Amino acid sequence: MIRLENINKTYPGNAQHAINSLSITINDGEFCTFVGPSGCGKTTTLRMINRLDIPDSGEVYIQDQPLSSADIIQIRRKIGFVMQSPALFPHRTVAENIATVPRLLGWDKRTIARRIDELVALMSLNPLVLKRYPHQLSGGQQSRVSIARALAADPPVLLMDEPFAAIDPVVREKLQSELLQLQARLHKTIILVTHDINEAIRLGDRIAIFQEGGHLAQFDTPDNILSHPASDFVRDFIGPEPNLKRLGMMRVGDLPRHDVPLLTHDGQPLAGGHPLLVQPRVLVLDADNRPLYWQENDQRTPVRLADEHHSLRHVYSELLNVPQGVLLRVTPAGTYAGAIDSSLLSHALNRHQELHRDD
Amino acid sequence: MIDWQWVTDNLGMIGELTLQHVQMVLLSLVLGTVITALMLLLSIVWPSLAGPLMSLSGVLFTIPSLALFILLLPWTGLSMTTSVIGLTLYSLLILLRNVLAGMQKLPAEVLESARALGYTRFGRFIDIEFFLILPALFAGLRIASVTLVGLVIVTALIGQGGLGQLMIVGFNQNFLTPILISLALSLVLSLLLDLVITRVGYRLTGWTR
Repeated sequence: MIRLENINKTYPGNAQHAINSLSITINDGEFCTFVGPSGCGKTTTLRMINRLDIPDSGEVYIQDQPLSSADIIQIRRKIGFVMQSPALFPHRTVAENIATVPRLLGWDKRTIARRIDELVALMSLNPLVLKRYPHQLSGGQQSRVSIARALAADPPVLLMDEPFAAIDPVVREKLQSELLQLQARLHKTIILVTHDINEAIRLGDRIAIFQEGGHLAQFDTPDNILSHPASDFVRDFIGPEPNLKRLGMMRVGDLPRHDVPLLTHDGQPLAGGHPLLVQPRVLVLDADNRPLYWQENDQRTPVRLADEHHSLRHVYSELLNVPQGVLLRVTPAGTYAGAIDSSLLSHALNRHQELHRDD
Repeated sequence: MIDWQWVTDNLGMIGELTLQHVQMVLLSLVLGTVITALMLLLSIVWPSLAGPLMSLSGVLFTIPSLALFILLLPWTGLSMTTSVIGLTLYSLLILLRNVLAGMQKLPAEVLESARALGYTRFGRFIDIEFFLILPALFAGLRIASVTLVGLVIVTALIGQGGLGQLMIVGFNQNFLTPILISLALSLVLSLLLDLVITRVGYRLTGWTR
């Protein structure tokens, strides 16, 4: 548990508080996002949790240990930190970069080597990059390495300061889904700072919305924030299109499976076993059950795919691009796992809101 | 123009003076590097020292070399020590300036990430900063080596001087050959030293490519 108690911080030459009597508690295993306009103190707050910044007054506790009297070097080694720029050590290879904290902790070489292999798999890095230097990597790869480096010693807490802000939207979407998959397996306590409300909603179990002057405007689940914004500031900050934002929280994997008529590549009909979507075409699969093309009266049209971890907001946007309005769900191996159309999205959205009303 | 007979007759002396020249340059370079490293550590323990050190090295460098050697005379006399102290000071000034400037230009976010990952101040210097300032150090070593090869010649005026001795001989006897030989050998020495330093630097900073 991370507990900030009555934190105040002002910077010299600036009368306004950077952080103003902030108290917030983040539970173990929770993915919490800090979001707000620039200058609202969200990054400073994050940096206080590993004492890169020091509060003027108030105290930060990690597992009830006050940081002001702790051995901060040892504490930092148990907190993964990912910055906005990957900030890898340029003179060290990717493998050496990842090994940073384990080496500081004095792990033996074989344990470190094994851990690097695990992280390469975890972050879907190509093992060939391990011997390269950071500047030889693409931005997305550098970000992955930076996260791998933060996770190297398996810290219970992971702090991320706008880790995807400088990455192009396509790779960002991918890294966000990967982070969610990672969290589903690792159950770390993650605090991620972002200025993008959609990213905050998509990733956070709870969202802390900061307001100018270091004031905590609301700290709640995305659902509660979207349906009951605590103030006009929060309402303005989350902006219009709450339904799109709700779609942003849900993933393809949350949808009940639906099917379309199927054919094997040698013409045998297949049954998906789930309710069929209303549409006229037949989907042809290859020998490994991967979608090949749509068939309708001898006419073939290409297929469009969605991963199980794509957000429904992304799916909705894709659907607008597809003339016949059907996307295919595929497993990570690329095999067919159902189909989605826009009526499914409306159902999901309505059901989500009903469930929420019952809470 | 060149009296080759004189050259062959004095080959032994020329060789010895060249060797002395190289020795003085290398000794001063090594001492300069070691003291630079110590100063750098001081500036890390007391960060407020970095600014004054930087300006001091700038001011000292403007003292004419001959004046510096003469200033040292009352203490160390007309000795090898005098010239090595002077030469070391010069190499120190060049190296320290380069290295301190290199430290100031290190990418802030990289140092910050080292801090966030749990490096101690000293550990960060050894593991990160030391390697990242190597390019600046080697750039400094190249300038210093070339400067020193020239400065050693000046020390001939206080009785040292390696190849500078040949120049004095030439001037005194109004005889061009030793002057030209001295010039040519200094030039070759500079180029060789520069080549070696560049090579070593290239080896040690593979990550910059």
